[in-house]
Amino acid sequence: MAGFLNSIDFRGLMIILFSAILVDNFVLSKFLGICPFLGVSKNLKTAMGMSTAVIVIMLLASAITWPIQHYLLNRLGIGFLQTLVFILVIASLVQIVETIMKKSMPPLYKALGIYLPLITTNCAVLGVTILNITREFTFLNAMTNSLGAGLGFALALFLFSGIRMRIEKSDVPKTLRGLPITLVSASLVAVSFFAFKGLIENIFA
Amino acid sequence: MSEKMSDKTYRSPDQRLEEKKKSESPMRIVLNGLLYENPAFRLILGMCPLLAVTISAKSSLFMGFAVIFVLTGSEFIVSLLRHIIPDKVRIPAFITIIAGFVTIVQLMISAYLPALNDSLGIYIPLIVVNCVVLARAETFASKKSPLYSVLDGLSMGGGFTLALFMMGSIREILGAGTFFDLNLPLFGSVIEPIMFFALPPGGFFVFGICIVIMHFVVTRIKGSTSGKRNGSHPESEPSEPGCSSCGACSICSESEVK
Amino acid sequence: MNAPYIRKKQNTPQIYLDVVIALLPCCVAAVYMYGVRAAVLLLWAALLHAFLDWIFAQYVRREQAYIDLSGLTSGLILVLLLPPTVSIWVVSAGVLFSSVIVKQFFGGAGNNLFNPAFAARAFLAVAFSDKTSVIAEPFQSRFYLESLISGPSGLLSAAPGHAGWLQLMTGFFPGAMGLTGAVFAVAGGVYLAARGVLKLQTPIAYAVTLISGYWMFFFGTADLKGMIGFLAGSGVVFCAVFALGDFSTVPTSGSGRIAFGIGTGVLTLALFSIGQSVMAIISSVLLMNAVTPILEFYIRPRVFAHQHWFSRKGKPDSERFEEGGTRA
Repeated sequence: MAGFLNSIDFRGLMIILFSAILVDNFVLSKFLGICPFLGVSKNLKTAMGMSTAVIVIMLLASAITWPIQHYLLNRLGIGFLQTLVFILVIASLVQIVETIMKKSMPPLYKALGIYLPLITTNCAVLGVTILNITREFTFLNAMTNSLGAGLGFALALFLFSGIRMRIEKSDVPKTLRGLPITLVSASLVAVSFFAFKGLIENIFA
Repeated sequence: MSEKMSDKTYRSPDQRLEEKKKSESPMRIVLNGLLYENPAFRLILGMCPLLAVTISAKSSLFMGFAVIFVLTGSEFIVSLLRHIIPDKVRIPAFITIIAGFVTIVQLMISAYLPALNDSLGIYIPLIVVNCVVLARAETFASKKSPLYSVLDGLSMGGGFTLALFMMGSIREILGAGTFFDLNLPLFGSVIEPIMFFALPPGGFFVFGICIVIMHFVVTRIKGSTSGKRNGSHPESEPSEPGCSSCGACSICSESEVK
Repeated sequence: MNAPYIRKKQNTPQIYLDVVIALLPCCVAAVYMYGVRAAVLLLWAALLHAFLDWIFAQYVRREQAYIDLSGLTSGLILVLLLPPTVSIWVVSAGVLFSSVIVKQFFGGAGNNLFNPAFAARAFLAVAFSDKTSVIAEPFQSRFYLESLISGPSGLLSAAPGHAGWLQLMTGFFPGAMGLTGAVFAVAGGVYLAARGVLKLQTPIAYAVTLISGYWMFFFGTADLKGMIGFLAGSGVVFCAVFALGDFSTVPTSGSGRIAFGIGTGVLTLALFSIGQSVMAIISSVLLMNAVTPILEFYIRPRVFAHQHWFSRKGKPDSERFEEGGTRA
């Protein structure tokens, strides 16, 4: 066990985790999961429910698709079926999780159930599973990256649940109300997130 | 929210009939896709590629072509199979058909345009989960004849490409001072290119401004063609993203985020 | 008139006039260091900002137009955050961004989510990164006016060398125009505090976080002179007075302000490790501005009947924020 723990590169994992949260934030820098970001960030409760569901599904999906790609598709020489297989895996995974939750964890289902069906078409989930493969991560790195991506998504939703509440109360010009002003504030937040570039490597150096 | 939504979707029976007639005419389908229901700027769908690949006019145009191909092809197949696919498994079936076309595009790009593969990267496989494609398969192709479906695919894809190209041009000209990688005479000597527009924040910003511009354009056109349709008509407001605009609510079962 | 000030005795223009007066020492120092060039830039930015604000209020928002002094303060702060070598076009682009996009798009002074000058400075750093990252030596030459159009070329870029006590305090060393002069910023801060415009919780929380963080991180090598050099020479004082003392972009409750100060301090310390001190300060302020609505909600103001953005339009929004408006 000790040997296994020693073999893990914790510094590398921390860099992957925090880069995924702050530098390559899925919403603000990679533009993945924009639809749910704009759709459910209107208040804190839906934002946090959606984020939790996304983090859970991202971790599960990565844990399943990574072995499928490396031990099944690559072995059989049908790596090009990646997109088809991954989206079907994610769709059925969401369905299975929903069914299990409904039967055995009703309170949790009540809290997260309504967000689960929306996740099938959330490109952040498919995106993170494909990125894990194209960036040639090991399994542990892939899981860390997925966690970071999910947390970054949650961070963006958390910030914007507050920002949008405030914008709604402000005297925004009529033509800009709603979506345009939210996009402008996303632009400003993305500018301030630029500061994190280079920070992560520096801190864990 | 629910009150607002029902208000938005409410039409009197006469209006519905009129709309049904209108939406079935080929001209109306084309205009809907390109302008009135432009998937990007009016329905606010498929935002991820719209923001990510529009750094240059060229990459956004190629992304648009990929979307047109996938959209038209899958709408055609879905429409052909619309009586065969059982209702209960239609969503997985649609996803499989779309994923098949996306795989074709992926293989073709990596075979003939490997340089494009680097710039579009992950956003090509992500066409699978692009709401535009799934929503059109569900709301249009599964109900209409193949010919209309192809027309709808072409016009919706064209509208999306138009949006991509518009954003790509603005961001490339302002952000890099070039257009299709050609240097513009005005830039470099007189005006400095503004890097901001080529970076992610610029994407959000240009998209927001484009929505406002399209809103103006569509309300002007509608105001001039029929005096009755003023700014308060529900169609003239751009949709909010989420279930209400996507139109494929049945995919997300009956439940809805409220 | 403008909501955040409704409880105060002074009216809004009076407060902004106070801020302009507090900015004067920094402006005078900038003109002393960088000559007529700094004066022209400061004047141009302030007037253009006020003019754009007025145009927008008059013709887009169609409000009763009044000369809004907040434009003057934002224009002056923006120029003070920039290096002296920027051209007048860069300044104008920054002012346009600050006035129209950061301030007026969000509903004008008092409603803005981000600090206009700081957001515009971050925009310029992204948009014209090579022009805004110049470090120019003061007193080296008086710049000519014609170079305002394109920016002086082949200029006097110098690495910050060793600075003596006097230099550290007065800010007479290479850096942004107004950011370096700790003494002048403190003078402005004292004036604002005496007038009751500057609430001290945020700056104090910020300073305490920075000082304790400094002693924690550099425990082995830390000394008093190093600490004072760090505080005086990096521009945190300017930020503490003119960004953390702002009204609309900082929480209104006391504990919210303290949380804001601590958060800004932690972010500033973390971002200092990258090395670019100007951007570290600016980004930490902007990031905390983005968190402000959430701080505002969790740490409520205690004053009853206090007009506030989340209760402005009459609805009890506290439930709505948590429950998503679906309370049965």
